[in-house]
Amino acid sequence: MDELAVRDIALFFFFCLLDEEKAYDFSSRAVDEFYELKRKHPTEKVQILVVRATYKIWKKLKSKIQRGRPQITKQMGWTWPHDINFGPWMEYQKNAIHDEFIVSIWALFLKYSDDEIANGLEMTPGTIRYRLGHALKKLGTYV
Amino acid sequence: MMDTPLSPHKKRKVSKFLAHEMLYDYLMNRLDPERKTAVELELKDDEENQKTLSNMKKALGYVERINRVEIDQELLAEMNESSSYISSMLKKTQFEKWPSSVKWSIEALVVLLGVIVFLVVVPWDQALKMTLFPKDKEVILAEINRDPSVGKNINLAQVEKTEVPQFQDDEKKAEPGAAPKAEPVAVALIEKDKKIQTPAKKEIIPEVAEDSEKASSDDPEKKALSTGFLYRGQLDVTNVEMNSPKITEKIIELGGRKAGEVDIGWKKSDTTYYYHFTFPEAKYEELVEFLSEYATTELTKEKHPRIMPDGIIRLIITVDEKKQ
Repeated sequence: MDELAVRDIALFFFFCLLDEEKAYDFSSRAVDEFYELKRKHPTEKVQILVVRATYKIWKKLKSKIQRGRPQITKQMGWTWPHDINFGPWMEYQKNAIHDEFIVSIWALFLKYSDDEIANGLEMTPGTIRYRLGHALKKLGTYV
Repeated sequence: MMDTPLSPHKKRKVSKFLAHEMLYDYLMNRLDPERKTAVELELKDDEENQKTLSNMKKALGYVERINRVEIDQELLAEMNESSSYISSMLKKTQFEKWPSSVKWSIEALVVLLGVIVFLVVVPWDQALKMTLFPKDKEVILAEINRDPSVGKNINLAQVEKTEVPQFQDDEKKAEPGAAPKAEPVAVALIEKDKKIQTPAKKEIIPEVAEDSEKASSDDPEKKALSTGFLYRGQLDVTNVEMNSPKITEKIIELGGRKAGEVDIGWKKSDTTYYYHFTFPEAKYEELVEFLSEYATTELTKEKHPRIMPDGIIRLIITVDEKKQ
């Protein structure tokens, strides 16, 4: 179960940063944070803890993120089929509103439910749906 | 156009804005049948919302296409290894599964060790000195001059006038950029220099013992080392402006040298001249005799925390214009 959480964290930061080296650094910290949260809240759902851990690390380190300068070279351990075009996602990552952007990763890539994300962020599911709707509309303009 | 029962009072149509906001839920098929119908009706006539819905569908399809990123197991394992040593250790030892009593004891022990280390490492004596005894009230036991000529009967006039002042003047504060004062030297140095300052030291002991009212009889040598003296006096001289340079000249001739930051015979005001200088003790009587030519000279010997080298005394004399 924890392996899946680590994978989700690594995927979150990959799509969030589009920079493998930074994604590795952020993910390592988020994994530590995840285990710490799990120690404190052993009965909490893993997805909620992943949202909390990733959000905390993202918020803490977001000043280091350079949007619009992707560094993806397949050298660190993330792999993908050669036909994948990250162009629209890169464009969206560059221009998106932060809150909508990160919600879209949890919901669209990690397939977390609105309730899980809302619980993790301590917000209402309505807020999450609103952000997600806007994120999709914006992403659609780049595709 | 069909009306939709969205209000308990009357049926009304879904606006373009509301339809736009409900597009995501419509796409996710989360709307109830009535709202779904209403949104679909609105979409029929609204090209903008149709385009938005189409974009959202494209975006969802795009996300599905790019969400095929895989991660090496090795990389995941590396991330799983905690970045910090402590958390890694806690994970390995499964610290969270230990009994609460053991965990609390260990944590208390760690805190205790931290406190002990803090208490040992901090230089408390220096910290207390800094807070309880400000520097201006500091008692300096001695200032040792390592010049081998100290203690001998030398002609101080030969010493260059450019030397750094060792004493603070009573009358004048240090000027900016002035040479720093000599740093006080620890008592340990006195002990070291005791061996060098041999016979002369024994001569001074009885004198100190006499002057020091509180000196204990069991260890007079120690007491003598911890107390110095300063000669202080005030002279009223006629025509001080003329006579002051003569006095200055004589003092220098006899071996006096400035002790503070101002020169010997510093003109403090129109009618006052200030003399702060060190002087060979052997020539003290000669100096008093000289000064007596100008005015009645009474120099008082005061206790002072600073100890002068053997054979050297320190004087502060103020020479004023004699009032008629």
